[in-house]
Amino acid sequence: MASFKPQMHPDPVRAFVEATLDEAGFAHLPEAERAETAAALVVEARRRIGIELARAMDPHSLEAFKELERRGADSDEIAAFLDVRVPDAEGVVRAALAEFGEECKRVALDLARVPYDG
Amino acid sequence: MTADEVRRALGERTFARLREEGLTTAAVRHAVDDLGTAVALVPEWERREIAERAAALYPKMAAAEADEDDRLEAMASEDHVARAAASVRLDAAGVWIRAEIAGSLAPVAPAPSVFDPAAFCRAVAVAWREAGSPRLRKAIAAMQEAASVSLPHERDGLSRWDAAFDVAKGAFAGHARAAGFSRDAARAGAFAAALVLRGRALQAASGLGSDVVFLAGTAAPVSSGALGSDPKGSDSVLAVLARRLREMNGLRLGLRPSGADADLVERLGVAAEKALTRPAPSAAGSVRALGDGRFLLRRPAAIVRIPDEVVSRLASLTLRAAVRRLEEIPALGPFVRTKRLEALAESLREDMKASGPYVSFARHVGLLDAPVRLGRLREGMSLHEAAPSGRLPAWRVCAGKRGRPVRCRAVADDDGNVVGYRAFDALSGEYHGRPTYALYGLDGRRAGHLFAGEARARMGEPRRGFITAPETIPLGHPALA
Repeated sequence: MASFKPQMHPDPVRAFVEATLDEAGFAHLPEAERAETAAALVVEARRRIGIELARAMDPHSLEAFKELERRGADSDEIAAFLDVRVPDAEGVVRAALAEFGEECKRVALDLARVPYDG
Repeated sequence: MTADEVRRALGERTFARLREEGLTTAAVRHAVDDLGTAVALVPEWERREIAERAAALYPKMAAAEADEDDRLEAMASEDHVARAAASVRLDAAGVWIRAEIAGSLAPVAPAPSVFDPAAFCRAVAVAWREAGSPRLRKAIAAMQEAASVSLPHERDGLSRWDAAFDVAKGAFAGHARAAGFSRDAARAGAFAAALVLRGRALQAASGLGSDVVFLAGTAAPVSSGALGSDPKGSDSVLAVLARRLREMNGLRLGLRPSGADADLVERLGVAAEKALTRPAPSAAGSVRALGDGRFLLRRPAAIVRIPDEVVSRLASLTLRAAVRRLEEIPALGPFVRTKRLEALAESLREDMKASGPYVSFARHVGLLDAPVRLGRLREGMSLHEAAPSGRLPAWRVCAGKRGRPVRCRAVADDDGNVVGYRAFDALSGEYHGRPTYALYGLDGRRAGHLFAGEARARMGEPRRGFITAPETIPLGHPALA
């Protein structure tokens, strides 16, 4: 009898954030702080991706996207829409995340120079 | 000066006065004067500034923590619309930018109803730090006024904001330490706050609303290979959630009648799925299979008998598609009236909010995955989302014309037989601004096309729409995809 083992949906953005946290020097952060920081960064990474995708759309497409959102279009339709209206959408996502990763490292470096004694 | 030092210097009499008078500027100013020797050398105008800042900071300090439901939903919901909505709520609440860290740059929060001395002391300590550094004061003023206003209007608005922010973010870790954070927590909190504040500035500069930005961000086409990261790495970020899941299963074991074992609990995949997106009390399986075609409903608390035939018809559909089918199925006789099916559909619809719409019906109710049954694509037939492997599979990418990627996903007929694939090519046409899809039978031949949101197969050669679709694409048994 086959059994179902719950599996967490692999999220590439989350995996990217995890890797970025390690590279930025947060590899040994306590679990609670790490989970909190990773959650903030995942949401932030989505914002950065969204901004870049929206910038890559022409005004007409952006309006059409807002209309899709108002209509409550499903994931497939939105993914298909982005594929059609944003040239090299995945490339835009990659670039946005790469830039976000660089920013993370820069900020981590800045913070490393701050005295932590209050 | 730290929050503890402020608390020791002020004492209970000051707090009692603040409780009584409320946090008026005069009352806070009085409290600042009460700091005694600490403020002895502080000039009059600076005391006033500390009082004003502390009064403004206090509600932010006492603001609520991140809503756990929203956090779990933003991180783990399979529905990207739900993830986007939760992200918008978390961002609006400013939960990643705590006032202990970001000081005056933290988002505005409503005043708490009950006076909180600890929050007040933290507010005074941070106000003290900010007022004591002219450079920081200037940077914060610039970010709140000129640079902030110039963000969406001027070409160099963001660089002006960045210049001011460089000074301000340097103070974040110091603020956090002064507020009693550990070194690690201070560094991590300052890191997150700095990135989120800059993200907000970027968004302001783009003139886009949070809803649009987060929706695009969560729906974005992104593959793990493209990012050069291993999705398995995401396990650790969910360690906290996984622990919650284990606790849930332990609790469930205790609640099950005798005879239940760990394997049974594990098979109730719905519990595990829900534990990721819902806190314990509401995560109890609202629809559970009891065997013999009986299901336990939470709302209304009743046992509904559904014929095996209906269960097997829904088994390989996604939960979302199963709900739609249940609403379509007419009365099946005196024992299964439409009302009961409607009640089941309604309950399942509620479940979707927690477990996501893309898990298969079979897996959702804890049944073993049904064997995949195949059918034939026919003209005019209705099509439904299929989840033959227990979950809506990721797009299967096939080679289209000139090697262009064509994304395919399995579809099923009314009886739950998988009949083919719905396919999408990025160069396909649009109909009224909406993308079009092609349909391919299981033998790989193109059999028709349909428009976004449409569930009825059309046959023949589309004159507009999916004209770039290849005649055939290499497909196989969907369960192997």
